[in-house]
Amino acid sequence: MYLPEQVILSRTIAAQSEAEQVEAVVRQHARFVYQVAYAVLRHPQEAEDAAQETFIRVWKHAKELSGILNHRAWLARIAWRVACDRRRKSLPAAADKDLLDVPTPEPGAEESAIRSQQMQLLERLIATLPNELRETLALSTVEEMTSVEIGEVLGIPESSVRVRLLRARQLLREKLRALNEREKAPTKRI
Amino acid sequence: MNSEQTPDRTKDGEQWLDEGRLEEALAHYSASEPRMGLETRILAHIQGHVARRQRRWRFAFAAAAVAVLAMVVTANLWKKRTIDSARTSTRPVPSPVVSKQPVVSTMADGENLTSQSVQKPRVISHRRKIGSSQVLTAADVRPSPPVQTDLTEEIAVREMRVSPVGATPELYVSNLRTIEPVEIRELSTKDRN
Repeated sequence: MYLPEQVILSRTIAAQSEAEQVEAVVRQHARFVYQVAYAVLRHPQEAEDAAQETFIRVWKHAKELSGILNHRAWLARIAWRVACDRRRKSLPAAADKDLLDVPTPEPGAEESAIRSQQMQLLERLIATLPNELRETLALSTVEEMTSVEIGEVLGIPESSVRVRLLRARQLLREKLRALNEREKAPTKRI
Repeated sequence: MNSEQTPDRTKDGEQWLDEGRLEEALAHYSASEPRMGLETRILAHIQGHVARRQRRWRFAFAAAAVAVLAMVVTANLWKKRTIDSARTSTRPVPSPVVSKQPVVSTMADGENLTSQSVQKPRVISHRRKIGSSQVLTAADVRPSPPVQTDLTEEIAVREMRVSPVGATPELYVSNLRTIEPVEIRELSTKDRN
């Protein structure tokens, strides 16, 4: 089949521009995608693998890149799905691992030790939340993620996101109060 | 261990009940920084994936081409074989219909005892038979004349002697005819006149 030179040239340019687009997206949003994946998986290596898989999917749909208005929301949605798939596959192993994957404090650093303990406690409490509240809250903790973007990722309206976030925080406070009361009781006995 | 951690947790819990502390803790919930060079690793991973995919496609194309080539060759061979077998099967097989006249007649009628009785069986027509035609052996097509035993030969000779002269072959007739003596007389003048 004979192809005119112009067609070949335009195809080459298109291919190059697609590759360049993907590269630009990777350089711009890699950290964000990693954090979305980390919010779900709570494991650095797993989150990085999920980020790589996310960008492989982006590369597969590189032709759609030029037509997408909000790259962040689009990427967050892909990363969210990839992370959820990975979590589902490695759920039994990750269930007990979640609490252990919190970064260990530096020796002698009191502040980081306290923060580590706080994070462990917070993760335990978040893990006990209902699934829909937990997902919304985890996404809300990702840096610079607005409730509109969270709504696009989860496929729900923004108002629902706000309601879920409010409800999740209320539940967290209730659980904290209950925990405090339970932990105060044995100390009184002692 | 529980008794050691309990006061801290209680303290933390009380602190978290303040709005600000809980928000701060939640802000740090997903604040995990990736290792250095994440973008480079992701790009390298994509390039590797693309290269693997291209290799896979090339292999698939090559495998498909080999498969098609093999199919073409096989089809050609099969076709050739089919044509050859068709040629052999459609070749006209001589299946002569042998005349129902008896090859050797009984010696009762001496008229049949001619050279015809020794001849090959008369082929009336050839029919073209295709496919599973009845295979006739050479012996069926050209049967050898029945072997004459001594007894049958003797019977035949006797029959020939008995049979009328006109019907017997010349060879036998010359042998069987008796030569009568010729009377020789003197020629006289009377006879001339």
